[in-house]
Amino acid sequence: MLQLTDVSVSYGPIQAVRNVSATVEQGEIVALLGPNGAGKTSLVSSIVGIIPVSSGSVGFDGEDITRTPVESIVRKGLTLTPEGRRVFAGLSVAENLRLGASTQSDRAAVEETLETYLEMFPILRERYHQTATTLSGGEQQMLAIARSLMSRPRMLMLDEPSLGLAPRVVERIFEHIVELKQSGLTMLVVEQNATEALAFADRAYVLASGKLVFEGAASELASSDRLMEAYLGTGVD
Amino acid sequence: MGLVSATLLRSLAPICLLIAIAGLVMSIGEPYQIRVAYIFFINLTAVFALQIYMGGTGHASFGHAAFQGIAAYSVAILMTPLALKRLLIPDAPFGLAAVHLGAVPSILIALVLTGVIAYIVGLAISRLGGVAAEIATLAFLVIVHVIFTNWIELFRGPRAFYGIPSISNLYWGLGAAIIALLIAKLFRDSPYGVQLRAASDNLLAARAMGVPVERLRLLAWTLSGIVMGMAGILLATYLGTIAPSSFYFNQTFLIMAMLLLGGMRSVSGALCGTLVISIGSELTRSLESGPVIAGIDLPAMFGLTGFFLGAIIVLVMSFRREGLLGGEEFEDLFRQWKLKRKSAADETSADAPAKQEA
Repeated sequence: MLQLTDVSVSYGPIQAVRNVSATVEQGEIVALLGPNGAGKTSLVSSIVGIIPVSSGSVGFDGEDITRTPVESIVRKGLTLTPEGRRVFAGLSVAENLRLGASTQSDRAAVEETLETYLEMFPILRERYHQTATTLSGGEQQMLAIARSLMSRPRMLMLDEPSLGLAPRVVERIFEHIVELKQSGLTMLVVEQNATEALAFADRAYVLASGKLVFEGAASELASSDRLMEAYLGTGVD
Repeated sequence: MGLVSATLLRSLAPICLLIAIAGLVMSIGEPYQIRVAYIFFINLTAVFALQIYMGGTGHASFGHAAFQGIAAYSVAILMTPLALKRLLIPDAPFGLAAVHLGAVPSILIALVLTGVIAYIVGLAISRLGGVAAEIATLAFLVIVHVIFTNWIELFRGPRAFYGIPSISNLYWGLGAAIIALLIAKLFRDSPYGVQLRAASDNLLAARAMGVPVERLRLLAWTLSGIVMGMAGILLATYLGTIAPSSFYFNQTFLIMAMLLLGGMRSVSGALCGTLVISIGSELTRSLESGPVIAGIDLPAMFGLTGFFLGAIIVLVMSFRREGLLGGEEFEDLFRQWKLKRKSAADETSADAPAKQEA
């Protein structure tokens, strides 16, 4: 579904991502792991076109989207939930959700999608008319995910959905991710929480200093103490 | 309820207020007061225009007075009688010295022209972000001013352009202000307005959701430029005399102070700020000449009005960044106030039985 070929991302003279090639197939969850500063956020941001890809190409459904503007990519069915939640603080939960449907013109479909995700995240229905700032961190993360889902993506990229959340809340977020997978959504999940992410992912990529250092089945990575320790700092001692 | 009918309903209170002001001034005001009220409506239209862009994008614009000037000069050149034009601008290019149009076509052409120029300039400004966009608007103001003062064949340079038929009266001002109010409110609550405000709140998240930020900025800029053009037309067709200096820094900072004072995030804030500064400047202006109040002969204090404007901007920026209304609309404030009263009432009624038990 998603094909990255030799993708590099640079900020001036600094290369954040170097020649990364990766794929995500229809229906799978792929985890993108790696330590802080490895280039994970740069990579997913460049895929949707928020920051430019400096070389290489990005394909989605066999179509080249390397230089496509963000709104067209969202319209094609690929959406990113950016790191750090980034809800629209001054707007209500309802407005936040509707903004997620910015690229949708079919009103009836928007209402239907809205109903689906209010069903899935009941807390958002409860807080529907509240300002987004009044939500807790976990609720804001759910709002951010639901907001992205409002664009009816076929593939969703989640950037650090567990960032800054209490373990119990993280667990709830991950349950939702599994639920979304069961509904047939393809996902690329960026995580630092490697052990938990590998529990629900099918495959994993590990990025370190902008380069891919591992790709393979999630179970293979989880069982390799050497890799886990070397790149993810979660090895068994 | 549709967006349009909801907006009309929500705008009822401010519209009634404006009609009341106009009615009161027309029935009991002296010519001087009518003039003050007219200038108030011109500035109000201009501040609503500025609110459309600044309230949506969160970026300051120092360039809007230029749109006012472009529209004002357009009607001036098109509407002024030929005999006068032969005297004022005998060498006007494009055969404009021989063109004389009625009020309606002149106004329409002026608005369209302002819109086209706004669109072209906006193509560049909407692509810039933050401070760069703001500096670009300032550059635009200066460029337009330089053209006005140096293209002598067309604009008479720094000298006044006079003899424009004074066809408008206070009701024109009232009408334009109401139209501007409705446009600003409609835009603010429309999906475009909400998307734009979201983008100024969090640019990255808005982009990630596919909000076409540049296109929306361009839309807000062009729309507010056209509304600003209305304010320019009002000025030209009332005073009958315009000069490049009317559309420069003084006007820019006056309307910006009005908008910031009330709170640029809401249309109601724009109205509040314009009211307060208009009344305040009139009061300070009457103090400038050193009147005798309650037997005390005050000294003449020239420049007091300017001091008043500056002081207001400093005070608002230090104590109430979001403006008097804090970015809320009247009806939102009213709803919050009602909610607060209701919850307070609930608390006291919940307390009462508890006390009885004790």
